[in-house]
Amino acid sequence: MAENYLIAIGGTGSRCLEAIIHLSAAGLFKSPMHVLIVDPDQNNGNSIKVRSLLTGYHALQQAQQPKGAEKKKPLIGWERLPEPDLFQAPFNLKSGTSDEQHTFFWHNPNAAQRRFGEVIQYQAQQDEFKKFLDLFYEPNDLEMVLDVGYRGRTNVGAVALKQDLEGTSNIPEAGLREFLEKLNIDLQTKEARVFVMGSVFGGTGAAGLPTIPQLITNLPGEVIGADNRGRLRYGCAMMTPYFSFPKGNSSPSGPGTDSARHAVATQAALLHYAHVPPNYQHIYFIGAPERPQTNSNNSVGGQNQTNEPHYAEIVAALAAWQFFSLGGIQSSERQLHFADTIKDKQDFGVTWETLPLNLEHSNSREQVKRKLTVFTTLAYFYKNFLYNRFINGQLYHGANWYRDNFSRVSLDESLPLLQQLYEYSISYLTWIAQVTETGKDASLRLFDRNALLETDPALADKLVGSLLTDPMSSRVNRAAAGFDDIYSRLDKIRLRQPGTNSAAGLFLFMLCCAVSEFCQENYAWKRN
Amino acid sequence: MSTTKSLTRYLAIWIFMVALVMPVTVYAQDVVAKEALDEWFYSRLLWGGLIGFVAGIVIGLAHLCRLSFEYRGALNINNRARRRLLAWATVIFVVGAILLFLDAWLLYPFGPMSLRFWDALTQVWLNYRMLLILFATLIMFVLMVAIVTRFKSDCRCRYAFIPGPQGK
Repeated sequence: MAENYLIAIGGTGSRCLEAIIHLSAAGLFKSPMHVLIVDPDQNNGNSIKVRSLLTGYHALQQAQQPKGAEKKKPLIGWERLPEPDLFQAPFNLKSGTSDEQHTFFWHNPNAAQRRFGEVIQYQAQQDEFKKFLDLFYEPNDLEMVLDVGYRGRTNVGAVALKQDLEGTSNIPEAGLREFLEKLNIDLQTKEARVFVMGSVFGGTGAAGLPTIPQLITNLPGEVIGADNRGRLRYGCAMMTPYFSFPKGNSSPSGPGTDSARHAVATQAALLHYAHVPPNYQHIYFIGAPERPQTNSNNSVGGQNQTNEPHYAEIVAALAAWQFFSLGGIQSSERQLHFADTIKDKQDFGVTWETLPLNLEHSNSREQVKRKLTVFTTLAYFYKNFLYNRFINGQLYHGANWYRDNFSRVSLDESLPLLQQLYEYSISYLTWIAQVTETGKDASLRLFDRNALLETDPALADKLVGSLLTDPMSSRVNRAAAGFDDIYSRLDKIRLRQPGTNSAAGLFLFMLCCAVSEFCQENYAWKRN
Repeated sequence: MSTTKSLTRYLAIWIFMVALVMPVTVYAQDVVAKEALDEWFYSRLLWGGLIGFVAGIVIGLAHLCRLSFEYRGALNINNRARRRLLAWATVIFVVGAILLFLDAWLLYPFGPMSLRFWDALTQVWLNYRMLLILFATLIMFVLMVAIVTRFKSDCRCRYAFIPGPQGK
């Protein structure tokens, strides 16, 4: 399977990557992926969150699910089950190993406290050149400490980031070298696709977006072979302003950030890209008309810069999904895609009808809805009804599905993975609930937020069949007691062979089969 | 739970009382011939077995196999299914006893005319044969419940009465 390459630049890039991880967990991405988070703010809250999410995802991805499984029919014979769907895309797996991963994060070896003036060696320049540099940089910029990124200063980031990235392309374990090595190996035999995500209104993203293709183009031949470069295809999600945060103050280490400037910064960046087009074959242009506050504080960077997720990040993740699933891409191809919810002057809001990108006909629309609904229902079901009973007393031992299918593998040995699945379910449900919260001004109708946050099992039992908000299935009689409906489907499953040595993988697969069947009937989906 | 307990208690008291009163029949004047009693016994034994057979299938498939799973507590319904079975067995025992009495008193032709209430009670109903019919019915009922619940592949209590595989 062809490997896909993803570069997440800055805090916004990390947030888009978070969406990609969740979509991979839901089964939208299946091919192996190599991810690199490029953020000079090495302690950015969003990047840290994503790194921990990736660790959890990896553990669950390694729980091998059975392939080619068959279940007993009600009377006689065996029925083939679908292939596993959830947690299938491996991230950053090292070649030749089954579970070791390359680093996700680009490690910048430079001192965190260095100032921009040191990066460009301002003091060492001749006076005449200094005057020339002064045309581009204010004294504040030169004195800016780069510990928390570029603070919205694209002119600073464009220089510092490119220089730092070039400097680490040969350093082992810095992330970039491993990324390029793997890319080069892949390019020797087939086309490889690189998708870059970042904002065009901030410092790091706007600086990094045009830098990446340029950086790879300028690498020496021994890093990426000249012939191989012709097989590289680039796509990117350019995130235009879609969120805001409170106004802040400048600090002694440099200027503060101001979301009011995002629109102007975007205009400037786009004007620059228009004059010097970055070398992307497919550009996905994504933003939001309403810009909700996704952080109650103004954080220039660091751990406190943990913004809440937004639906625009789901759209960016879906853009990556579309890009990776495109047929052949010509190297001369240039396409601009817009995320849009408006048709004939009518705004349809963010609904299942406007995803993955816009109202244009898309065969994948139904697929997106179904996979996300199944995964949301599964996470909700596991978190609210199963986890406690698994951990407190290991009640699965008495369950029929366990007695029928777990004679060779035991969930007793997979308790850490069950814990991991619980934590991942909480992360996912919180994430999707926050997306519905930050998107409420955009008439976002994907899932019922109140239902997602419900923790009382009695109410969750009533709500588990009504998580999806979809006018297409609103007239259908939805399950009033969802626990019994889903659990009875799990209870019935009797596999011919466990097909795996991983008890957690087997359980996840069986639960997914039960939940898929439930959703199919509960929401009256037509069979594919 | 409490209903099942009280039913069980009631049944135990009833069986005890029957056992106590049974010797009374020894002193009663025989109006029912032993041959007629045997005839009644064998015909009702067959009917009892048949009713137990049908009731076992119907209650097993339509009720016990379809018990709902609860969002709290155990992840199986075996104990609930067992309690329900006991409740059904009690109901069948009591209803069966009443029906057998009505049968002996009003329906079955033991002689030229119907038995009087007291004769039917002491000479037919308070007889070990009546208990045998009831137990045969119950055994057939329980056996059928155990078989149908075990061998209906999607039955929700398939391992409640006949043990099945054990998970590792």
